[in-house]
Amino acid sequence: MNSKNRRWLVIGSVLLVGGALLALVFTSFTGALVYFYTPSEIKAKGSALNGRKVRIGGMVQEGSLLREPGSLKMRFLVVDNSEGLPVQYEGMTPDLFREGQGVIVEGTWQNGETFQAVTILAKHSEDYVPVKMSEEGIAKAKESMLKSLR
Amino acid sequence: MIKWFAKIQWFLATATVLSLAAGLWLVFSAPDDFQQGNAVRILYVHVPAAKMSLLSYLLLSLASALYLWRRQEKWDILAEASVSVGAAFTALTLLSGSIWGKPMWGAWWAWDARLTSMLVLLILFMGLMALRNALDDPHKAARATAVLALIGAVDLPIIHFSVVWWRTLHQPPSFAGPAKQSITGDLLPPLLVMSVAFVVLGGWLLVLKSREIAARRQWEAVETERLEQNHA
Amino acid sequence: MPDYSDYVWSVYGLAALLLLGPAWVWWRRLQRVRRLLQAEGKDEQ
Repeated sequence: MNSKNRRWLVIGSVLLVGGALLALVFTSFTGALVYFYTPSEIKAKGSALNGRKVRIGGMVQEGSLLREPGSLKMRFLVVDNSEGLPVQYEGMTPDLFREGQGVIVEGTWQNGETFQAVTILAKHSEDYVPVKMSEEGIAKAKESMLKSLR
Repeated sequence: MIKWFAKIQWFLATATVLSLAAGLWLVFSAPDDFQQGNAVRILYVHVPAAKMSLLSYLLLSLASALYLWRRQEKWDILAEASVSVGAAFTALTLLSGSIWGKPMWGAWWAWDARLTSMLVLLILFMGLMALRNALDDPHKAARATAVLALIGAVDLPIIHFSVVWWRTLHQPPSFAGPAKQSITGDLLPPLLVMSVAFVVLGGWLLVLKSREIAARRQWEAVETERLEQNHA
Repeated sequence: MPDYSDYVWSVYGLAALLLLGPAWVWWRRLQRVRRLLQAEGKDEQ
């Protein structure tokens, strides 16, 4: 490697590392690292976020999941500790997607309209419980999930 | 230090084999998780690898600081070795997390705070390797990488607290001391033993890599000397 | 519950590759350089 190439490699590696660090620290302070809104937060924002791509995270309300027979269409309610938000979605869902489970829905926000999710991610809690103690696990997981939505 | 490394290497290698064997036996005899089924077994590689990534960078920061203070070559050798070892563990953390994320979350990758700050750690390790490679003068390379490594240490608290400070797709820590225990029953022992096994394995890799670096530098010195003699 | 064996095995395979692979390369390189040094009448310091 000649000395000119070496110099570019030095500048390049320092810029890459410095840039990645600066971007990370900057986004830390601006709050851009918050991955999703809760239903309460998005409702409080109202029409301020109209037309924006947003992620909303919460728990799929038990008894709210309605799948349309013969299609991949479904409706459900995403809830946090106080508010609930109706969501519509069409497509495949992750294995962990079910009632009482954490979920993050992605789509374009239009205040006053039913939220149309384009992508669904399942969010699970930090609890790991042997399958024989499933009931205990489900209860623990629900509690941790609601705690993380505060 | 290197002589001492050569002495403890076989002890570390034996301890690695034994603890990994015990860990793997526990992992594959552990029960399934109530919601993740047998995918929970990925945890036993992913979490210890993540811990070792951070530990490697912590060691790198320490060695870098000591080198800048004392200017002894052994600290630079240790720093160079922790970059290589740390990069391997960080790559494993990211890839195993990705393979775990697809079936559980429904995505290979997400730009949430935990995943992003961990990716920055890999960029740091890679950048440090590239920088050392690019600088001809070994003393200059040692100083420059030590300074850059210390600046990069700001990523460590960001990674650690990312799941607490910001809402993320990644779940909060499961194992945060005896007061908060989220891993129940027979699912816990495999994690403890695998964590120990990964620390021992990391130590062994570090010793091996340090010896390799020291020997290579020694050989380079021999060659330089010979070149000078030929010229004279 | 679906079976995730494929994912599990790929993670354990990857771990072996990423951690034991470098170890093997470093060990080979160390032995080679040590032989070179010994040929010069020098030992590892």
